[in-house]
Amino acid sequence: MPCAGGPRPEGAFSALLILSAALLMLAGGCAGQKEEVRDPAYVEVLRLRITKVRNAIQETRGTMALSRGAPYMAELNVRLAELLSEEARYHYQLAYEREQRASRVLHVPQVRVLKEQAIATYNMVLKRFPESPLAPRILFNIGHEHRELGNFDDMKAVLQRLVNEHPESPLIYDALLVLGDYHFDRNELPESKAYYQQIAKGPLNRLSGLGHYKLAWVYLNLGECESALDDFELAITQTEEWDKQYQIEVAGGRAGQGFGVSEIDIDVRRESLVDLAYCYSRERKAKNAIPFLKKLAYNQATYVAALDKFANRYRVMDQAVGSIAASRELLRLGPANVDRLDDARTLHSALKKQKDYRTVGDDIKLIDSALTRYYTRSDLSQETRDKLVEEFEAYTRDLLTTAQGRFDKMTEEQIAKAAPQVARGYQVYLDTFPDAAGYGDMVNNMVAVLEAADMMLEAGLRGIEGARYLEEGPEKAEVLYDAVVNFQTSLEKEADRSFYERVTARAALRKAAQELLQTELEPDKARRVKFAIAQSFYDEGRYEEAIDKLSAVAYEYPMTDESTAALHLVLDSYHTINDYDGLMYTGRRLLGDGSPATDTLKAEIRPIVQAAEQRKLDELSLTAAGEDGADISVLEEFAIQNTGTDLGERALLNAFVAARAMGDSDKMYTLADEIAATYPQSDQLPGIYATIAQAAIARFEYDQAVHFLRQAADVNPDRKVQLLIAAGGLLDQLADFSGAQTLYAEAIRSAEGASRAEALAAMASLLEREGNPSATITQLGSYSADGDSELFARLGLAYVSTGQLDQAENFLQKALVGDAGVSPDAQARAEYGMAEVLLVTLQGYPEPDDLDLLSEFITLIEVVEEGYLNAARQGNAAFASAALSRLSFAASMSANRLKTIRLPGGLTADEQKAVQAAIDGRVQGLEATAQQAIEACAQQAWTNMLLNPIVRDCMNGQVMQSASVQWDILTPRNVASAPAGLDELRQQLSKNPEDIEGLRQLGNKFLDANDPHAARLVFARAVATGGGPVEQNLLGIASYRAGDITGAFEGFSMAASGGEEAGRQNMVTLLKEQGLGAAADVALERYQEGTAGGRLLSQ
Amino acid sequence: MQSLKVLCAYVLVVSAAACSQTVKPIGLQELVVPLDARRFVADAQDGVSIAKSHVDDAAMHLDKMQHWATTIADSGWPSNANARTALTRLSDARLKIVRMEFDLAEADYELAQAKYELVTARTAIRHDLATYELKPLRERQEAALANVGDLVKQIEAEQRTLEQLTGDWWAQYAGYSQGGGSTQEFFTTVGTSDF
Repeated sequence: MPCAGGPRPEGAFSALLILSAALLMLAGGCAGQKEEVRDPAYVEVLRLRITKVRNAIQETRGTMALSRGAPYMAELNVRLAELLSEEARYHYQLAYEREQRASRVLHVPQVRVLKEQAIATYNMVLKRFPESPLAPRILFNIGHEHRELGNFDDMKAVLQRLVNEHPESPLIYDALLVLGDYHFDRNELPESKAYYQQIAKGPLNRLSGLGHYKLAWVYLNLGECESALDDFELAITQTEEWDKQYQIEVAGGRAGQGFGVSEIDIDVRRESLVDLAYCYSRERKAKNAIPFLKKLAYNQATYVAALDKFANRYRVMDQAVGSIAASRELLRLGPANVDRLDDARTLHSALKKQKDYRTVGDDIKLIDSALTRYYTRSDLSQETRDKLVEEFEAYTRDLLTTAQGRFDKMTEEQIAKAAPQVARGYQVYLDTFPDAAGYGDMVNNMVAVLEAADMMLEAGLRGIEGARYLEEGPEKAEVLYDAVVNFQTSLEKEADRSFYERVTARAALRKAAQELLQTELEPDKARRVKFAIAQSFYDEGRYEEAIDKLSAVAYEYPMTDESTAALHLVLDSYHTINDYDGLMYTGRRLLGDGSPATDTLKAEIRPIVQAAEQRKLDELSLTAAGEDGADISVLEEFAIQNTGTDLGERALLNAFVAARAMGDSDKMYTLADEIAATYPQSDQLPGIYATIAQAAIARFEYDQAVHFLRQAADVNPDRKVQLLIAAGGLLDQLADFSGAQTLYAEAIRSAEGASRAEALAAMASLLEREGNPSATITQLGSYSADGDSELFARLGLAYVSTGQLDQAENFLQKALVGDAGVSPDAQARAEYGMAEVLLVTLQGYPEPDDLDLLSEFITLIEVVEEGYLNAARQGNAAFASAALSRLSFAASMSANRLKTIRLPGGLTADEQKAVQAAIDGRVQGLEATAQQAIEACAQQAWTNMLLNPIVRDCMNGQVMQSASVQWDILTPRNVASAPAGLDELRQQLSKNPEDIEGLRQLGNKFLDANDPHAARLVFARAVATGGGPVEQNLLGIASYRAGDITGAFEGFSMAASGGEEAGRQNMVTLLKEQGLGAAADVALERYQEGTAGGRLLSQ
Repeated sequence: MQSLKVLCAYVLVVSAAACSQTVKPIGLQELVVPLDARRFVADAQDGVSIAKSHVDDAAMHLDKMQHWATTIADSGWPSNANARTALTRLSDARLKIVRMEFDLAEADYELAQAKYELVTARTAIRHDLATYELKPLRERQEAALANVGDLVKQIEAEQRTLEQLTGDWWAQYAGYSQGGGSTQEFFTTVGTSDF
């Protein structure tokens, strides 16, 4: 602001002055004007507050003036007093701010005046309103004012008055607290204790926790730490208890004044926990400190604060156990600041002192984490960082080497338990101090620890790393070797490693091994290293390479453990990749000369090779019987390669089976001969010969069939008899009776028991058909002791035929009364035979000269008749016809005897007449019987299609003159060579034996080739498998040409019945040729004309 | 004469057409064909796919074996002449067999294709979907089958030769290694693809 100034100077000087003046005015204002310094902002706030409270006081006084006699006068006065006290407080604060907060001891007259006014107002209220519920509050406020005025005696008196006169008021505890603090500050500990105890021992109240806290401090100062600890704990628990109650009250909406801890200045729980450190460290065990703190700390900040105090305390006390525990917790939970470094140092020292390395890995992690967390601070200089790194590297190395050094005094079990932690510590060290000077040594130290901890993969990897820090030489080679061994062990035993870890192990192993092999290794180690390389390929699944490498180990180091292990793996590799050829060949090589396998291993290999060979054979057999078409040559080739061995034999057998499946009989025959020649002791030969015999029969190669059956019988004792009988039966059908007899005789000689009966029956049948009863008796008589009813019947007949009736009767009786299983055929023979014996008796019966003899004679005739009829009833067509024929003979003969008989003497005329009439009647009957019998015999041709020699004779009106039954005899077989073009048919039929068309073709070929015997068998098969009239007719033709008239007639009859005209015509032709022209006419009438086109006898 | 020439040419063309007929695949959803028949065709189709995959496998195996043989050839190991000869022969024999197995896989593939065509043609004919000359298709299958059979026998014979050479090699190796010859190469570079 410009002001009035002095006279103006002239010119430039004047201008300069004017300018200077102007500048001065602008810069500093005018001389003489005062500067106004304004108060700071807080002071303004206080001033404002003072203004407001004064206003409030004035208003209150105004209200009071208007409210005389009002029931709320006490409240108004109390309010006035509080306002006065508030104003006093503001004045004090204003003075404190004015003094720049230099001291709390101030001289502020307004404060005293106002407070004394407040006190006076309070006293007035007490006096005028003694029953006011505000009394406790008033007393407390008075006490508070006196305290602030320094009137401590007055304070004590009024607060005590509060406690005494208002014991129910919650303010008594505040009063007690003030009283206790008053004495505590004066170090009047018993007095303060008494007051604090009143708070503590009272019912739970807002200040219970604080009371205990204060009491704890009293005890602490009294040196009574145990009691102090109790109260510190109670301070925490009581505060928590009160807090819970407060929460409940708040939830219930009942919280009012005096509740909640927020009005208390300090965090009692936190302060208690922190402050009890001193006493705890003196009275309780350090090892329990952490659990104790955890139990009492209500949040992490409190816990960490307490830990800090504890750590310091234990550090001071040099208490290792406590230091360790507290430091660990602080390092784990505390903020990353410089204190953590101290904690790390403390932990290191304590661990060294305590020699506790059980969790050294975790501890090192904590220690180094303190470093790394602090290291990254941006306000640190590089020099500081380097120093810290150096310091902590030394700590860490010290702990690790000490911990590892202790292994020397530990058992294996203890080391295994301790090693993982040490390993972890090394890991932390290496991660934290990668540039440390001793890094390489530490890596190599770590290898031993990892091995002890069974962490073989890690040991191997660290081994390789450690080797890089070593100079070329034995030590480095040793380290590499250990690494290889560790990798190998990891691959073998650490099955739970991940795929990636295994890949790493294998690659690292081979890398290390490669390096190692370039050095001078001892032979033992070289062997193990090479095995490890080879095994790694196996482990990786590179089996072909593994086989080569493992084999190399085996051949380079034969008869060693590695060799044996390598060979096991070689065989397993082949098995795994399903290379059974390789397995077989390798196994054989290992069993041969120059093999690196031990005898024990060879014993293991043998069954493996056998199994592989069998598998190979099975595969070849599958190929041989392939779905696309069979090729036996692979099996044959295999058999050649393995000639003389079980395998070769099995190969040939499989080839035989395949050939059979294909229906290649020629190959079957060839293979059978080859098997017999190469393996004559083979136990499969009986089956083979039986099989090819069946095949030959199926293909109608009868000559071969007989040959093979004979061979089969030679090598198969169990089935020799049946095979010889089968062969004999074939020869029988082929009209080689001599050959058949020879085979039957051999069968009989070889047989025992029931099987001999079968052979005997076959021989007896043959001899019977030959009409040679003497031979039957000669060849079979010695076997009668077997007790066979069939044999008895045949022998009986044979004896009848030879006139040896006594023996005949003996055997025939035995046959008739034999065991329950007598066949109808045997029964028929026996009945027939007995009838013949009786006929001879009848024939030799003397002329009856009395009635008794006559009667006996007639009875004998009847018995003979009955005998023949019994024989006829047994169902055997041949013997039925014979019995009927002989019945006719016997009846006729008997009738003639009776005709010529002279009546016995001594009879009356009437008696003679009667007897004669009876005789005449008997004669007529017998003649009728004779006629009926021969007619019945002849009728067999039509009823049973039977035209045997007996029936033919009957048809010609002739009966058998002797007991010998006549049979058709097959003509001798005359085969120059086999018909052409049979192979394809045989092939076709061997695949489908029921191919009737094929059978017919084959039979016709035989017929055309003048081999009716073979044709007969073929057509018989055709008829048996369902052939119709055509085949039946052809069967008839073949039978006719083979000399079997009976069979021919039967075939033609069946064909004619089926409507085959050729059969009808052939039947007629046959009958006419047999001189049975009349029968031929009957046949033409009996059988209707059928379908034309069949083969005739003349064709 | 001209018409005769034309006739002969016509016959030739028709014959060629019959021989080179294309069998049209039958869709697996072709409802005219019963389900069993469609499955049969599908099985034959699967056979072709399987055979093709075997060809791929055989090709990979051949490639691997060629690489292996190359490491043998390039290594110049072992220093002993007899052992070296034995190893070379072994290598050649192995490679030969693997080549033959590849040929066999291709022959099997050809067979599978022939079977598939034949099955398809038969099914089509049976269900009136198309008409084909079956004889050339059968002949193709039989020829393929015969080819497969021949290759199988050749491989079997070659296996026996390989076994002989393998025995020879290991005998040489045993003598060489036990006589002090270096085998380090065999465990590191020769016959592997690691280094």
